[in-house]
Amino acid sequence: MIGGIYALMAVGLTMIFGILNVVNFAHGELYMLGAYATLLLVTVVKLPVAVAIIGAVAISAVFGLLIERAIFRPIRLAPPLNAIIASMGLSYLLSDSARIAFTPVPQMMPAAISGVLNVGGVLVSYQRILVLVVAMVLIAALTLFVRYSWIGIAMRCVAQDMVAARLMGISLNRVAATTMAISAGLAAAAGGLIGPLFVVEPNMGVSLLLKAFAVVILGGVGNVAGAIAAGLLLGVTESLAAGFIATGLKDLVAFVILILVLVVRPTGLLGRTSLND
Amino acid sequence: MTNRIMLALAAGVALIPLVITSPYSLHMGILALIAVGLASALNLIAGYAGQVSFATGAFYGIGAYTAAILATRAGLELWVTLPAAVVFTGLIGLLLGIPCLRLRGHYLAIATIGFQEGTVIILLQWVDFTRGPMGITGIPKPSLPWIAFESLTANYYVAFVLVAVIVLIVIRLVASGLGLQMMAVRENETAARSVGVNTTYVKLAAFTISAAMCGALGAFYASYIGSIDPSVFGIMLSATALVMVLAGGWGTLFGPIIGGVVLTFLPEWLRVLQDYRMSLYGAILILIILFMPQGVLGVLSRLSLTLGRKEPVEGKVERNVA
Repeated sequence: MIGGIYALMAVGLTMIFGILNVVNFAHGELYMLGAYATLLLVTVVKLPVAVAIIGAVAISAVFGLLIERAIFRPIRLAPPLNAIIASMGLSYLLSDSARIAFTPVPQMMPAAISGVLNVGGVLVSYQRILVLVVAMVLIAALTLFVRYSWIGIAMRCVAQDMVAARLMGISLNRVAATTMAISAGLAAAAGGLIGPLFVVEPNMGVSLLLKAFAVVILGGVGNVAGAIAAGLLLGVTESLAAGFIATGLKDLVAFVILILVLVVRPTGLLGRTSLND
Repeated sequence: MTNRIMLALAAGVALIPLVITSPYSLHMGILALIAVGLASALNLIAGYAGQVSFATGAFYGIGAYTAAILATRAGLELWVTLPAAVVFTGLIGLLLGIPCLRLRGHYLAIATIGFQEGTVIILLQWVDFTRGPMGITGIPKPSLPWIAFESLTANYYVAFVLVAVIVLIVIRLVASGLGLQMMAVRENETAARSVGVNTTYVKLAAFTISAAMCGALGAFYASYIGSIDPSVFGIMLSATALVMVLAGGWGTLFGPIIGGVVLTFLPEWLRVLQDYRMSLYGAILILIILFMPQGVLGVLSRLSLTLGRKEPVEGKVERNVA
């Protein structure tokens, strides 16, 4: 079910990568903040978990807007490395701020639903199933949004050709802001959903982010369907590697896949163009 | 002009231990020298050849582990282990360069991140060989057949010589035909190829040389510190090295030197702020990107142009050459 989380993270990353050509190293921190926001809304404001996750997504989306306005917009025309370094700075800033605000102690989050489903002898907790279902619903909603809404069509135009899109009267700023908000919202949803399965801590985003990059590349940059398939594939492969080879080598899988894909098929499993279908 | 400043700078750096003798300052000086070396090596590939690499930490680590394992298992000394580390990391750099030849921009960055992370995971997991998270301890201090460098001052001079050689190689290389070809690849790969630059060879050479330099620094570091573990050689180090180059100024000879020194001491200066150190560091990175993306030297050269000085700062000249 970790595959669902990989998919959620990767879809957000692949969108800003494909549409805005920005590699956001702070994406893992948005996920971490989403988890903390959910946790605080549940424990302090006493909201039900489902409402708390929606609240966290909203907070994170607004935060995404702010980041786009303050950091990514001014350097849109600069070389790609500038955005990488700026987002790394943001990543340090956010994870360290979280450490100061919430202490480095890992925290537990209550599960949205408890109980275990028995499928032919294999036990699966409802929370894990919920993660997968919600991830799929969110991604389906996003796909419809990108395909049919006005701003979704504008996003695909920008992904195809930024200059031509502007000539057609599309506001690049609006598209960039919306993309960033959606991307941040998805990361927060992933954080809120994963909270009860693992612990919530300031550094939780770092290793996940690098795997999400592997998923983005494996699925093909800017390719939402590819990101989903690759996310689920990586989740399964990791579990198999942990079960059949060695637990410690689980984390190596993503990076081996990453380099292999880049060498053999740099466009990813499904190619780059699917966002524009 | 450049050479004279470089010489004066080298003389100044060489004299530092005569003035400053506190162990802490000397230790920081050695770390700053290593940082300058790493940033210069990275600058060769990222600044001059235009191939952004996040693998600095991995090569540094591979060099350190090569030297540490040879020293503790085979009892070899630094003057043997350092060349071995140079050859081995150079080879690994060549091997990484081959798949990375086809990649550009973001893709290259992500591929090198994959290599960086993969290296750390292997260092952590291959416990029989690398002792995993426990690291390797008891690595002997740097030495030559007839002399051992035990004191901090001696180690400072070893680092100084090593880094001076690296910077010198970078200076010579940049002025050579290969250096011009690197810059041609950076500016426009297709155009470079169309005028007969063997881009495959140029990129592989840049990858190999840069990796070998990081390996040499790693070998010295392992020997100087005496004990190493994988946590040092992570992506944080690679990112910091990139920031050093960026903050100083891409594709300039002095940029990595300024960046390496400033960014080694910056976290120390920020230490007074205790808990807010990393947050501030992150904020400073963002501010550098937003307000001085050309680095310190870029700001200086713009200033010098507006003030109407005749001689632009060196970074500007190199851009024109390219």
